[in-house]
Amino acid sequence: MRALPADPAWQFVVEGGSDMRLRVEESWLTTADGSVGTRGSVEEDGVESDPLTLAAGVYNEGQSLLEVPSWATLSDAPILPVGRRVLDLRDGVLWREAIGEDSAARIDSARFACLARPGVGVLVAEVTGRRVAASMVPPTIDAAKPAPAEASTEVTEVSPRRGGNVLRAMRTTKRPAPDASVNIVVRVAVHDAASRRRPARAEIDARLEEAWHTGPAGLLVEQRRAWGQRWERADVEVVGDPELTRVIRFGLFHLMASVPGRGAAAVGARGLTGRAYSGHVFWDADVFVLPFLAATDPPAARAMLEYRIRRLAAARRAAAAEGHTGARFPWESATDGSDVTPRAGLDEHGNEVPILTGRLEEHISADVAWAAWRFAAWGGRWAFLDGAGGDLVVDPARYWSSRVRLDEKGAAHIDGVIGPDEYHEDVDDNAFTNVMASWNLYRAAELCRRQRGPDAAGEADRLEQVADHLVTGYDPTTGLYEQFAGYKHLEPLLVAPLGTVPFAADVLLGRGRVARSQLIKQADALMLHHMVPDITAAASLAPNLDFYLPRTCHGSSLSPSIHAGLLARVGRVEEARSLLELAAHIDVDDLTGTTAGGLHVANFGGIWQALIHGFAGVVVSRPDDEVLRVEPRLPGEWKELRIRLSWHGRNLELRCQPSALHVSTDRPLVVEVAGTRVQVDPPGRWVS
Amino acid sequence: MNGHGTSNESERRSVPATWKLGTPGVLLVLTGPSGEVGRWRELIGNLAAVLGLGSDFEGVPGDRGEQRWVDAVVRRAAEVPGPVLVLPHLNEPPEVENELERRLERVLAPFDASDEVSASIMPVLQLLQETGVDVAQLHVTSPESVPGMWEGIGHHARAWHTELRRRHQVGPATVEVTGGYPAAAVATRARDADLVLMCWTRTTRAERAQVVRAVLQVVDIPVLLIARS
Repeated sequence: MRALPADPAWQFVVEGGSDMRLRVEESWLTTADGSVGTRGSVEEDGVESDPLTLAAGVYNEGQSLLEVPSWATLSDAPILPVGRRVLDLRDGVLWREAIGEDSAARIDSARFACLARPGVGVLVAEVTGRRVAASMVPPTIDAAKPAPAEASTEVTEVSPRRGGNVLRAMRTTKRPAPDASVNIVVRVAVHDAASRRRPARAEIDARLEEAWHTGPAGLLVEQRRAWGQRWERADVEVVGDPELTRVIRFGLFHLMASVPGRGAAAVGARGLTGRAYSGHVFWDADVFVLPFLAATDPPAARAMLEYRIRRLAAARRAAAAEGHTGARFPWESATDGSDVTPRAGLDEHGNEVPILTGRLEEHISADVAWAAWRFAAWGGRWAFLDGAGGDLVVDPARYWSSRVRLDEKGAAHIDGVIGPDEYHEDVDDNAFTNVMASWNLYRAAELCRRQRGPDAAGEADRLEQVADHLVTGYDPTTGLYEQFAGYKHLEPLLVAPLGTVPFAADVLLGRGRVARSQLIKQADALMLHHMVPDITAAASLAPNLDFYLPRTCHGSSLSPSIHAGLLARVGRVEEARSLLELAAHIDVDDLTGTTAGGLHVANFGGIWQALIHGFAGVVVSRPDDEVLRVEPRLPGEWKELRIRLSWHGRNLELRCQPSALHVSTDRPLVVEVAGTRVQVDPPGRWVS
Repeated sequence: MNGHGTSNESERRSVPATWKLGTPGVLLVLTGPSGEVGRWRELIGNLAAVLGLGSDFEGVPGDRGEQRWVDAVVRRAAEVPGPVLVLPHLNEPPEVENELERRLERVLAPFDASDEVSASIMPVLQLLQETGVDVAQLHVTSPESVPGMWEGIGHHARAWHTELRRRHQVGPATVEVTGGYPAAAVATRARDADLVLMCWTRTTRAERAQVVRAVLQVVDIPVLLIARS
């Protein structure tokens, strides 16, 4: 078998292991196939670690992600120091070399979650009491195909009284090497997970037989092919900064590993890497994760939207329960599409405080509509919006149309909400919520006219009318969007005199003081410039960046990447790079103190968007875009930014250089660079 | 137990080797100027036995409640690489003549949630627990101990609290997380303890060791100072 990749930009290496960082490392080293993820605990781990296996979208009766014991634990393995572990990002294989302090015992292992066969995990370990070696030697997977007679099979079912079910069949062999100095352990585990049905034993037995017959070596070949195909469509390289490239690939790897390519994909805030956030689905999925997949793995993005489509009925019920029409999506969602946001939680001191986001953070409904539109825009897929996806746009718009309050002058308001900046709760006319609602109403009107014929014209007119009258908080004299009504009258605190970002303002100053100040947790009004730049006021990005960035604490992991992209768009590339680096290190440096509970997968999506829309300057807005607009802006030390993605059915590679752009494609397209349109035919050309 | 824990097992069960440098095998006990140990004699014996150390006593001049006495204690303690037990100021006769001897049954161990502090106090707390002493760990949150990227209440706070406990909890100790002024929080909880165990950097500059200085001034039970390793 092939040795580890020589290029460190494809390796995530963890040396030694630290008592304090044990669970952080386990999150980093998760191996997943989109459907089933297993944390990177060492084989002999126990009480101090979280050797979990998690299945996407399968929740327990309390609507938290169902926890299954790791299939990769070897209960009789010798207890060793953690040793050296290498996550091979190119192939999705986790390698480990551990040597006992007296060199008398040793474990060399390799494990992977089969991307080509979701739910199948493979572990090969060589366990020895005598062997001592100085360098990392991959286990001999090729030779490790045991005869069935040697194998023992274990079946595990995790099936709470209500909730989802996970059935696992696992076959293991242990046999000594010819000289009896090494025990070779081979294990293949097959999972079937379902949120509503009971997995069929016969089916999983058949899958296990097939995987076992293929053997670890054959499965590894499949694995390399499958990951190779993924990277072929999704790789990003910053030429001139291999360390940044490595961390970006680390994030993209976990993004790709967190989302299944079929069915309905519930992408929790920590993907399949840990139990934090209970596996609940937030706007993180729709706004941060989905765009990456829309451009690199459309079936996975479609599966994420299917998750929302299947919960549309619940969203309609939620709207109706409040006396509104349309659909209101929940801030936190799990199995059935009801709102599962906790009503109370702990603050930093351990005091219980009410949580209002479930009741008030309503922009999620427009975010879902945006995700559906974005999917269509990346792929040129009117058909999706003409079909099932259209309801994801129209129903939230109907909700907004009945949710607004009209004042005596006819202006429409949305009262009592929380925007992305959660420092300020229960505010009126949050610019982000209102403008997103407005955008949603316009797009829904367009779809009504497009799909539903003359009969729907009346509804389209009504939706547009509401959009026309929604207040946005925009002041043309200053070029600023006021974050919400009254924000400009708050205490004008800036971050710089108080500390450096990221900065926990609510902890330092207290939640009350922060709520009375202009300090904000994350991009709020600026989020509009990221998501719907086509309906923000012309030339308003720069003044809003100038105003809001000094007030932004980056208390959210979703904040630095968005600002990095926006700064790049206005040419402030070195500041943009600095915030991109901050975003890239959120999990690597455990900047939230919670990476032990899983990786911030939405941040990885934010980083990708900063690179694509900020540094590469790619603009994608509609399914009927006729050209791909690209306008790179690179920091000085970057020689080239290479991006693979698909747009309107074309597989592309963009090579963005400081003063040049090369586009490779498999089908003709028109690229617009700095206002000039250029025809690009396969295999590609320099366009500037 | 995972590989890390077991590999450290022997280290956890003995005091750090550095303690034996300079003052081999000695627990330095700092008292008020009179050298009176009062009702703490049995506790000192308990503690020295647990740590496997003998004990030396030194009186530190100064008046009750004076900053000068605290400064002198801090300066002297900083000279010692090993553990230093500071008795509450007893330059005045005990108010209760025949007050019962205090034994070592309950220890309060504040920690700042840094890896270094927890690694330093963990072996001592484990030794204490092995002899049946109840340990209560206390973390008083601060902007330094809460991550700058703080998502706020709810899931983030829960995940952070969970991990904080998993990283820093020693054996069956209780772990309390609270806000406010650290010395005040320690003083309040110290009413239910026989000993406060604190880790410090042995830095005597006025702006350092603020919490240690404040605690020495306000608590009325012995304080064991452990140097950060």
